[in-house]
Amino acid sequence: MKKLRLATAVAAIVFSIATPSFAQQKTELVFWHQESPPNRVEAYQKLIDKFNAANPTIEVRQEVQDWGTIFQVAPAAIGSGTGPDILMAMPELGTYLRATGAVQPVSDFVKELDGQYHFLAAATDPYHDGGQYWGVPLWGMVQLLWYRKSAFEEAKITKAPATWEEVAEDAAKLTKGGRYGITLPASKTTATDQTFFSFLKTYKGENLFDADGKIIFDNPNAVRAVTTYTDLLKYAAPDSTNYAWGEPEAAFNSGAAAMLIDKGIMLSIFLKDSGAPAEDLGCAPIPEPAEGGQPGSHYASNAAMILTKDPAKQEAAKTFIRFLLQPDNYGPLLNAEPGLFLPVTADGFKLASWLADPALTKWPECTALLAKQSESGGLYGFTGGMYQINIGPIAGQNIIAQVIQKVVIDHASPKDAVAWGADQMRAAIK
Amino acid sequence: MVMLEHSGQFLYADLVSGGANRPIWSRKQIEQVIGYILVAPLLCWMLVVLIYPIFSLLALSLTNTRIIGAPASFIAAENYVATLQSAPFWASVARSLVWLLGNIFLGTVVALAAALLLRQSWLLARHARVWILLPWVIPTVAVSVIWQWMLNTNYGVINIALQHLAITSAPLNIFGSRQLAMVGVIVANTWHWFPLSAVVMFGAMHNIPADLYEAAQIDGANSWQQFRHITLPSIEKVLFALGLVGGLWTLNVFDTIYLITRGGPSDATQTLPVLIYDTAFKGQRIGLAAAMSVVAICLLAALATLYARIAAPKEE
Amino acid sequence: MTISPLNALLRWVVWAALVFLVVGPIYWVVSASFKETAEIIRPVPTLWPHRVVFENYAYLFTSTKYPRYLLNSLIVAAATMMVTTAITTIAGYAIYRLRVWGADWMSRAILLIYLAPTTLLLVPIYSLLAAVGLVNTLAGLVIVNVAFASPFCVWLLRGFYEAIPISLHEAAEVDGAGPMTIFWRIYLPLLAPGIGTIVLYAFIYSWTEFAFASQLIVTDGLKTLPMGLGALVGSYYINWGLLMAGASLATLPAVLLFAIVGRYFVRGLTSGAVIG
Repeated sequence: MKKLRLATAVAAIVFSIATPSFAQQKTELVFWHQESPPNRVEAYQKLIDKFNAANPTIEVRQEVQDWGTIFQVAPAAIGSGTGPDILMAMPELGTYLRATGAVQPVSDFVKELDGQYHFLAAATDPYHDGGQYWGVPLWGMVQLLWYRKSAFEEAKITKAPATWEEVAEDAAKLTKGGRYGITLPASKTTATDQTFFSFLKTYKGENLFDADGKIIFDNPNAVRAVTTYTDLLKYAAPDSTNYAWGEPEAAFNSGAAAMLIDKGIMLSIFLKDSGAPAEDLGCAPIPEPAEGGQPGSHYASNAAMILTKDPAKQEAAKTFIRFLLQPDNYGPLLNAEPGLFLPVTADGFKLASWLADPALTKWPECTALLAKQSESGGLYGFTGGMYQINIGPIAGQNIIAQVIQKVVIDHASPKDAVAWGADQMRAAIK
Repeated sequence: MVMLEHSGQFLYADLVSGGANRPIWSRKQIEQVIGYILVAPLLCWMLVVLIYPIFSLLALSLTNTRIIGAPASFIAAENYVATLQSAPFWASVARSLVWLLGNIFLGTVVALAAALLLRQSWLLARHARVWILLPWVIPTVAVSVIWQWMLNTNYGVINIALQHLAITSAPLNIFGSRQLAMVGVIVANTWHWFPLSAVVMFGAMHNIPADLYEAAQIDGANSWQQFRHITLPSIEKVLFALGLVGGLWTLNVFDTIYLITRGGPSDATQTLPVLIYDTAFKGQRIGLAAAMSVVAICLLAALATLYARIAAPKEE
Repeated sequence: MTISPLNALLRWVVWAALVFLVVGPIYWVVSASFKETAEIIRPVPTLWPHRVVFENYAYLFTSTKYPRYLLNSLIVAAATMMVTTAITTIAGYAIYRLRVWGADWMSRAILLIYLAPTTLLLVPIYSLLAAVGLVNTLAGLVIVNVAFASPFCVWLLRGFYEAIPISLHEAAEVDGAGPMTIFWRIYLPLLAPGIGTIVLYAFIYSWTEFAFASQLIVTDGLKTLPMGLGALVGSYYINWGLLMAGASLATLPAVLLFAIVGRYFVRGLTSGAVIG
């Protein structure tokens, strides 16, 4: 008897998990994103609940994926019909998914929303190809230079560095007694790709491709950028070569490093993780070379891509995206991780529902700086209005990060490393 | 003939007795039929879930598939030519061998030592026989978190301990340097797997008759000699099989390495499975990765055969 | 036999090393899970939490689907365990005792399955399961886990079968028992320790499996514990306290299981004369 009851219970559980609910005549929308930290998932769920309550004919369900496996999971799921209706993509992932043929063009929709909220070109450009828009940008991310004011005072440095030369000087002064001047990733990760790209952009080396899609990474500007980056690594913790996401931040927050180049996420995590007061966190624009540089930073907009071929679902998806961009909802959407997710519309930067978050009101000048730095931001493969569909394998294999590793670990000269990287890129897109 | 309650028995009795008390099928034949019915689920399972996919891999390796679901065309042996000419491929074959030898060596030494300890008969040893398995029951993801954490340069406890004990003067940059990274992942993987080997070895030792040792003691053999001439030969077969299975498992380990180092730094821990994964999903060349897998299977098969030739214990 | 003081000391040192090796890393993570993040990433670590906090666990339970992941892991592991045990036990009987034609070949070939690189079998196995609609189901995961756990179980069973005296089998035959009756009446009871061993092996295999789970399952409500833990290593940021709590909790159920039935696993291995 007991066994039977147990078996029934198990069967019931299995059954309840295996059977899809097919009671209502609702349009079901599956929404995939890769923002797995629980606070972000919670924030989205609140918005989704609100949307579902206001739209009785549509049922949105979020499914959290993983940035680490999305490149293998998404095409497989799309191919087998278990894929999402809406997917939040970065531009590199966008190029990858378009190869599956599932991504729907949304040009008219983007134009409609643009008329309403005025998208930043840097946000929409990476989704614009062949005369069509392939995604609706929802948030952007940009890097700044962050520093510990207490460490600067202790080293008698009075202002934040504005040039890379000053960064190197300051880092040298700050490196002592178990503290490193700066923390920079040098691992084979996207974190390194992104941080180094901020350098590359300020050295005017941001174009990996020419207008014909040929690799032009092996140029003097890129060599200068690699030289600066790897020189600065001398003032960084030696384990930078294996940093994963979160480790540069941990080094900075624990006080083991005095400077950090990172996204606005610092505003969310600094107080809790460092135990230091808010006044201790300083921010500055990404430095530039003393000569021959330009303002720049790594900027990536994330966009909602519509993957369903069903017209009814496409309409429902648009209703949902419109809802997310409405002033009341857009602030809470961005503040799923305050500071990390920035508005992608001109109107968004003035939005009270975004600016009201306590993490942003604590550092108003950093919030303003994030907005300003977004203007000079860019992304590899999508610079100057270009759309290089071949960026996928280059970004996927972290070839840029590998160039840094060539110098740091294999002691190649920056020039040789850059030449090697350009060859790798050519092989990757062949 | 007595009616037996079991249907298998009924079938058997029926067939053997036939109509005229003369067997239609011999006992052996019936055993064969039933035997095949019993072994069929396993064989079918293997055929469908493992063998068939290996053949699809073969098909995939002849195409230029870049992404699952994207259109691709037949390109014959091009991927194989590219694989065989690829320097990164052979470099990762070499790294796989280092990884294999490192794990087998460290794993066997630690497991053997642990197994010898488990043979003791006091309380701690008896409990340890179960609790030693703890590292093995932990999900790989947790194992990688644990070791990344412990071997971290800045706040890793091992580095701090080494410095306190004055073994090293500066923190070791374990997962950030070429040579140490491989050592680091081998240590993590050994920690995860040695308990299983230790218990299997202990199981084999447990069944060595005690009088063998008594006789040796009377002959004046010391502990080393007893180990060398009694223990080792008795568990030779188990060691051989563990070497084979463990070796194949080790060579195909992907998650431990990938979760800890992602194959870095500068490809220092990019073993074959990591290269295949990177090629397929990061480099978007599934066809090429399939060809690499097929070549890898051939290399592994050759290695396993060689191992069996050299290391197989002689049948007595 | 008397033990010299030096030997006694040595024995303690070696044992301490083993205990430290096994328990040390686990202690380190579990103790970190009770620390505040700022304490976890402090350059000089603390052996014991300065302030014991439960917020990491509270957060884990309130804001992630950890309990659901746990349940899914248990369902998949239990199903893998049952199916693997059933099919390998009967197959073992056919191979090692009924000696079906090709038994020698099978018993050798079965381990060669491990030649196959799991990494890239991801793609064809995925396509296969997709074709029959088993992608993104727990059943699909069970099917894959059984396939990878079975060969080692069959290998383990060989020793257990061969340790059962053939004379018992023959005596039962003389009494007129058929092959199935002999299996039920004679082999199954005597195999109990061996079955205990493979049951646990299959369970643990499924419990720790990560690669296929992360490829096959895309729905949050169907994820297993290793995937849930993997997701805690978020993008752009790691909540260390949460990660430590997650790692500790992913370990706990397997530890509990071992506390209860672990000795059967070991007893099986020691009684069954594992033969290569």
